[in-house]
Amino acid sequence: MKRMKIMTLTILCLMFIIGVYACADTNSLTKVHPTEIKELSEAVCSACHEDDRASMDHKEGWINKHGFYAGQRKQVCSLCHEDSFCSECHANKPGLIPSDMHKDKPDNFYPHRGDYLTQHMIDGRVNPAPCMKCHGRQNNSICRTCHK
Amino acid sequence: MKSRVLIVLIAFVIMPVVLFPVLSHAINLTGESNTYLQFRQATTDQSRLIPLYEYLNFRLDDIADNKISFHYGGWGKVDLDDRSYGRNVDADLQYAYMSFKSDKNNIILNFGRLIVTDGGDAEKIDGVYARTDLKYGFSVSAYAGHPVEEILNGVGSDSILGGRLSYQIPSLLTLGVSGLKETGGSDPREEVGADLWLRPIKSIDITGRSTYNAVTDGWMEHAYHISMGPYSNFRFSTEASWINYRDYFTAATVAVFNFMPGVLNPAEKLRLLGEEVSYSINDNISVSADYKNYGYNIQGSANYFGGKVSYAVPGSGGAGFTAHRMDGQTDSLRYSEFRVYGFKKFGKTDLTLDLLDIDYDRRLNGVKNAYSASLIGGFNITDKLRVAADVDYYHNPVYNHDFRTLLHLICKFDTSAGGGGGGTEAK
Repeated sequence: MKRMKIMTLTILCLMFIIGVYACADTNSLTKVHPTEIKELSEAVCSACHEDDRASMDHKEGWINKHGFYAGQRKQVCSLCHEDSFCSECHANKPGLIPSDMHKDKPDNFYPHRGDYLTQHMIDGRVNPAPCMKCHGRQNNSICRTCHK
Repeated sequence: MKSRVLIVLIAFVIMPVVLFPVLSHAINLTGESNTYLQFRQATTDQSRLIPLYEYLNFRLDDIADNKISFHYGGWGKVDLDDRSYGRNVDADLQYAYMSFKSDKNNIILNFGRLIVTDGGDAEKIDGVYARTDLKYGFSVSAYAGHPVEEILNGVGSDSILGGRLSYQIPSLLTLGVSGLKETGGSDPREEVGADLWLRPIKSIDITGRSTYNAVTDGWMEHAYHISMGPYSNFRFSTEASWINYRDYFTAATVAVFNFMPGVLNPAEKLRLLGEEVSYSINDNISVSADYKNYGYNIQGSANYFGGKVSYAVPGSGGAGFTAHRMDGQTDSLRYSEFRVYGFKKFGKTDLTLDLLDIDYDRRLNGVKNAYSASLIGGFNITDKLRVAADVDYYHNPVYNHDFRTLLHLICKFDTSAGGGGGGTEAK
């Protein structure tokens, strides 16, 4: 624990030194998107942006690659989404499943819709990697009910 | 343990609300409360469950010239049916952190319970995260703390430490290298990775990452996507990934991923290739076709293909139809999947219908057709207060007939409190 504190302190000091001597003097991103995007069909970034933000259209294929963008530029995600949006699927503990939380948004294609008890056995054999992302080290106590 | 979680949960809610008006000149409180009451049967013993969930998230900001904010998300649950193991209470603190953001250099300093997405997957930690832009297009980030995880029969990790260094040429390239080390537990992790975003021309984006497991000394995953378009309303989305099971699943804390015989073979390797082509007929209607090929080293291959037609008018309604076929070499990997959905707003009222059908080539538990139907009605009492109810019917290999209902109350709030003893004013 002591080692952990020393490491944390070292990292903070290092960040401070880097911040003082090597910062780029860039303007920070705004905190909130200037216009409110209310529905998924409106999340077409390329309608207004022509730079790198244009690649974040929430169109076909977005579900598969959203994690890459979250890993590289979570700040941009935060313009429209609170962390609660991520936590609905990437949960610490099993609460309600995402599709139950948003039954009235069927066009969002939330995971685990319908009879997922049967389907999870099939999906898990086809490609278990997506299961691991949410249930590998978190949110897996419900898995242990059967997989002891 | 549960009482400890509840105390932490309550403390994190109360602390900023009490402290911030004293410390600041003005604060904004924005958030959302989602209350769910569900009626259903337990999967395991068919007992009746009536769980009541409260999901609360909020943000306090405009503190110290809009540089400091507090973010909270968590839920609590109580089962209202005494016959299901008495009062079944649970809670989770999803995130609760103070955040500092500077006007220059995109400096961020977060501490508390955090969700960190730094190049790779989402990590949840009780600790600290910091990032800043550097000169010449570089940026650096680092985090450290205690991992928030569920551990099976083992010892949880004491600490997690990670970071990422990235280089960016605006609108052309972002290249990052990241690493994490989790120590002190029975399932240690040591991973390094590289992530890429490349836009060689205006209508082509390449994203992806490769992750290496330093504990098992092997590549966990290579996953890459190419998005192309729109070209005359056509868009193309190509994906390719390679996963080595031994290296990818070795740090899992649940038995199903721990290479149990007959479930996962550590020697298995998966290669996934996929393509999706979509065409927008106009602003409201689009059609798409998709194909995925799963190739394995040990078990046979499988193909998943199909299409989708969707219609959406923002603020009014929409509908969609999807049809897919899974064509694998084992019985369970041969089925057809259909889905129809529609939603429509009528003033303050809205109605949604969602039908899903899976037709197995060979009966599973005596069932050939598994289907579900959901009917949802909602009413917006005000712009910030909404009530909804849904009824679901399931017929599948586990339940012959199963009805579920869910009541949902959504309350959005947005208030500001002025400094110097000013009162709270609802916007």
